[in-house]
Amino acid sequence: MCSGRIDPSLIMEAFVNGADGVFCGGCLLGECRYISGNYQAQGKILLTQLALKRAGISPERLTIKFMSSAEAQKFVKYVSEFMDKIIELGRIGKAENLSENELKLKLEAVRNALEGKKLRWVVGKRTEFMESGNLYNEIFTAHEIERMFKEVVMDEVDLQEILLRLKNKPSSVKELSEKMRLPSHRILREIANLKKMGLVELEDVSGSSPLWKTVDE
Amino acid sequence: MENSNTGTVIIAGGGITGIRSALELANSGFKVYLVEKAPAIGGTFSQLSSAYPDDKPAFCRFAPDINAVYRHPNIKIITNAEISRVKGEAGNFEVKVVKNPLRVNENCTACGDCMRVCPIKPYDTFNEGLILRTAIDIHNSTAYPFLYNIEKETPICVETCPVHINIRKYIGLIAEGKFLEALKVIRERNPLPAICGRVCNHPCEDACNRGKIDQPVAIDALKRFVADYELKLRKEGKSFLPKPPEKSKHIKVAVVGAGPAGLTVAHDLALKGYDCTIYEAAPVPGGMLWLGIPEYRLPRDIIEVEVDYIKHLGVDIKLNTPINKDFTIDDLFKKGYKAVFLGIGAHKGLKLRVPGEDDYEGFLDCVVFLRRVNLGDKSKPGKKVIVIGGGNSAIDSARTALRLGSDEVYILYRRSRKEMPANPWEVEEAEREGVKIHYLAAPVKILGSNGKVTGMLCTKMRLGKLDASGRRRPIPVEGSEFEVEADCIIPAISQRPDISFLHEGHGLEISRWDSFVIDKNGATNRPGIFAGGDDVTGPATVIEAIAAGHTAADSMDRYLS
Repeated sequence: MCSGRIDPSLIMEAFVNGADGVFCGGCLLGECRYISGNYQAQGKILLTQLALKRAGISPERLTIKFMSSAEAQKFVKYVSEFMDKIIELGRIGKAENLSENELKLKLEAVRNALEGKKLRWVVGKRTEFMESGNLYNEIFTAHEIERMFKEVVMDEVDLQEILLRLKNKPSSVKELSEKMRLPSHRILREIANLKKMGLVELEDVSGSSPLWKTVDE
Repeated sequence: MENSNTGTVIIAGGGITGIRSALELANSGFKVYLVEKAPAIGGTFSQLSSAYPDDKPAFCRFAPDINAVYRHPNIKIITNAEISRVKGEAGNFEVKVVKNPLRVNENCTACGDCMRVCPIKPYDTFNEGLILRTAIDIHNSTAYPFLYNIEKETPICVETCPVHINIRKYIGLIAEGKFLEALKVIRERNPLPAICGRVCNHPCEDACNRGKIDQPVAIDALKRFVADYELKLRKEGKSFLPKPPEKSKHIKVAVVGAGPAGLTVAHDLALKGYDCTIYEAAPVPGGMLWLGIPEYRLPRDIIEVEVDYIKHLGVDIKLNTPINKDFTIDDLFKKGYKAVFLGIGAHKGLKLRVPGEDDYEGFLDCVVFLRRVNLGDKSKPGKKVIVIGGGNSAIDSARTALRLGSDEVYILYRRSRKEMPANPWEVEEAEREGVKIHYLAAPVKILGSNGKVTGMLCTKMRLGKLDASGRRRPIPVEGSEFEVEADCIIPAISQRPDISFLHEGHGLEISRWDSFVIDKNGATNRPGIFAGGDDVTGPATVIEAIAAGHTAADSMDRYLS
């Protein structure tokens, strides 16, 4: 299969099902039969690494290497290097200091984020924005795109994680902030956003803090 | 309904007060236009969650009014619009309303899906930035029908810049190391980047949001850097001037004055394929850039390089060729020029209007003084020099005098430091160099003997109420006169265009400040004659002259095609 065809959600599927690392091999850059497949693969891997990092999982568990089909030695070298790296990192979750449930939830959040429309559109628009500009012909520099891109990925991963947690159990902002190890103002912002989108609603008030839950579809 | 009143009323603001007034006025027979800046009426009040003692949302009580406004035959609602100009007087106003686009077309069914996937999240200003909103948003959730819109801002620096260079873009390109591309972006709007990089008063930096945290982005210095970088490459033979455009239009255009405004017009029109000739009275190009700005602020080789760039585009610059009573504007038309741009600048110093100013030797206007120095006469003006005024030309004159070897240089300014129109960094540098500045002092009489200036009688001032320019008006303090010794006095109290070159029957409308009267497109009352820069606005900045040049060039192009 062309490396450009590997969807980030496929990679996440492997992680959710217990893989400790995912190695992706592609043709040499510039030698793609489909012109830009391996460049797209590289972009997708970078995106997935970014999302994994936000969820607190070492991005080194995922790698992409480029080689031609005649370069067996290179392949062996890359794979053994990657294996050494994974052995050094240890079992997924353990090295990250996450319990089994927590790990599963985090991985699912990343998967949901990568599966969603939002990130797909952002990734798709990326080259267009840098080359021909937006609707108003404003061309963005790589620096700006990169900054915006990172923010969007981080935001989306957080958002999906909140949704998953609220689906399991209605919680307050304070509880979410403790569990997710994020400042409470950030969580509050996301909750307000989700409420505006009609994805969460008020369930109950415990003490003085409101409890939020997801809206059933 | 009683229709006793006639006439039209415009109400700015569609909040609760605006809506209630609109209803009352419309019910008494006026035709009402309700102009609201936001995409929907209702204002802040209708969005409050509880505004009445019964704790119901404000909208519950307010909705009937909003509904009535929508259905009222005599009320026209203009949302997403701002009043940009009001002219006229009570009973006969002329109001200009600018409507902003919603950026969402009428096919929107308000399903809200766009909001769920919108990745861009600015701060929600309605909630004081405590939470975020999405770039595509319903401005006011109480509005009916739901109005989705995309709010798009121009960066404050781009908006503040008189020529609207895409600053955001070129700073980004510089950050990426794409210096030549950055220069290309600057050149789209500014034909004199190396000059502006040195002498621009950079309003963009004053407006920069980063300045609220620590320091604004050094936009001007970055512009200078890319301009110099390209120049260095060009000198080393690694970069080349672009291919000159073809004179495809075969239309001749004359520009009077090779200052920043004239150079911009010639630059723009040359790129559009016109055949441009600049007539310059002085032996050097650049206008005030060369004759007014001292060399330490703007090296002459930089002006030459920038002028060469414009010459390279196919513009012919005729130096030492004044337009005067012998060779008039009408003669230009006779020679086959289809349009003329007047960019003569403001080169006539204003009189102080104090006794004795024309009587003695050693009394030298700043324009005359700077012009003399900049054309090569490096003799010192006097031992003890007094400069009167607080603008950039006053500071330039004072620092130049000091550098030419005058022992003591004083600046006399009638207001305080805060009101000084000069660039603050220039004032600081002048002080560091040894120029002594006296605030709140004004001349009363020039003293002299044997035909030479010996000193000046001054008075102390105090600041009164704000005047038309927004600065506090200086008022003389009675009985506070004092004398200062000096052998040279340089007044630098603003300039006016020197229109003595015009022949009789020129037919141009001239204001009482000797400036040309133009419409918003830069056209004078005579067809084919355009004007812009200092000769319209009075002494102003380089960047404003460039902006005027762009406006004039655009309308000349429209006029000629």
